[in-house]
Amino acid sequence: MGKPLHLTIQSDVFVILGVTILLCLAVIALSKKIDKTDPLAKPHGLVLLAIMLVETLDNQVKDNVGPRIAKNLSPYVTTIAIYIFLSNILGLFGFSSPTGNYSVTLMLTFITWVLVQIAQLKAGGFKAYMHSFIEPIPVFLPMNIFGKFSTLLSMSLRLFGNVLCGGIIMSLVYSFTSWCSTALINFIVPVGSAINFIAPILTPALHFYFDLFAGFIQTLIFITLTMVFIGNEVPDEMKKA
Amino acid sequence: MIEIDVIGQLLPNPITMLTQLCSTLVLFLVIKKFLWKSITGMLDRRAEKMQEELTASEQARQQAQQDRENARQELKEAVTRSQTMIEKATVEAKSVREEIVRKAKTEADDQIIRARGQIELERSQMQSEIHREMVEVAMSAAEKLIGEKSIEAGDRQAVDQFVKEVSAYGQSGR
Repeated sequence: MGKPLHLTIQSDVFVILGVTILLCLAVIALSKKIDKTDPLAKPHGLVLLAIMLVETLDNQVKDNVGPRIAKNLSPYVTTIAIYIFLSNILGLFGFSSPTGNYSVTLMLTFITWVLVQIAQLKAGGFKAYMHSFIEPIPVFLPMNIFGKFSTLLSMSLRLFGNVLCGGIIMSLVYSFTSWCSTALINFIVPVGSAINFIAPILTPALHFYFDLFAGFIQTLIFITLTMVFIGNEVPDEMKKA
Repeated sequence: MIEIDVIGQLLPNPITMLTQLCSTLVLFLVIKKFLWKSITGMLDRRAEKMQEELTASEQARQQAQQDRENARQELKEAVTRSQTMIEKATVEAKSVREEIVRKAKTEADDQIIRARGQIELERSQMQSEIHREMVEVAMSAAEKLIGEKSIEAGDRQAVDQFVKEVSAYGQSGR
């Protein structure tokens, strides 16, 4: 158990660095491969996957915020989509998911929140931004302040809670299957501890749901909310420009 | 079994947050510089090449259209030329035919004239012959009547004159 704002280096830091380095190398290698690809040839494998991902996300971002802002926002959305999905499925490979750490989801959400505030400031100006805190009447100031930060909290806690819960449930399942395996073996031959042979039978489907499916859904929710929250602050005329 | 330190995971850790911020920033820059640039570049190149091919096919189509139009125009001109040539040939043939007919007619007329001349000449010769024969007969008859062998040249001339007058009278009487 740690203390608030302690400065210990968590194991997730190494996982974050590992994921980042791995992704950077993979992205560089993939970009080299894409550069060598004939533009008129039919793309295959990872190149096709990357093109589909980039095109889909870029179109989604353009639909929400317009082509002008999408120029810089699309790479960011792609970045968090790849990072969050890869982090969510790390449990499949025996690592703890970085998104199961609130510091990680809080920071990811904080970046999105900052982008939302920037979009709001650019759209209406500083005066309108400050005025939004006392709308419709100054009595609403505390609620508006809470409303501003509720996005930050809800997005970060949603992702964190889902991934962490998946991890906790899987941990419980492994504990249960281990206990069952030991009890079953000891019932036949009293040997003390035994191999958890039930887990490989029961857990793949649960891993598919809690890691792959939930990981994908949470990634989709996070990037969709990012696009929608920023898109809500962009004026319609800027979206069409 | 996976062990989870829920409290450690829940409470914000500045080092983890800073690491995450830096990682996200680095990842964003790498993705934007490499992946995004490569894919958008490839898609742009693809769009450009497809546009080039579309332009080339459009130009080829226009060229084919132009060639077809030219061919149609040339065919039309050829038909016009051939019609002109046929008309010209018809006119020339008509002219040649008329010329041939005219020449033939002229030649026939000439031949008729020549034939008439010949006939006239032969008739004249025949008349002279008859005239001479008549004079001879008249002279012979006169010699037999008179009984003299020699007749003066003047008499012969008188007979000759008489025959001519008779002949002229006969011709004018007809």
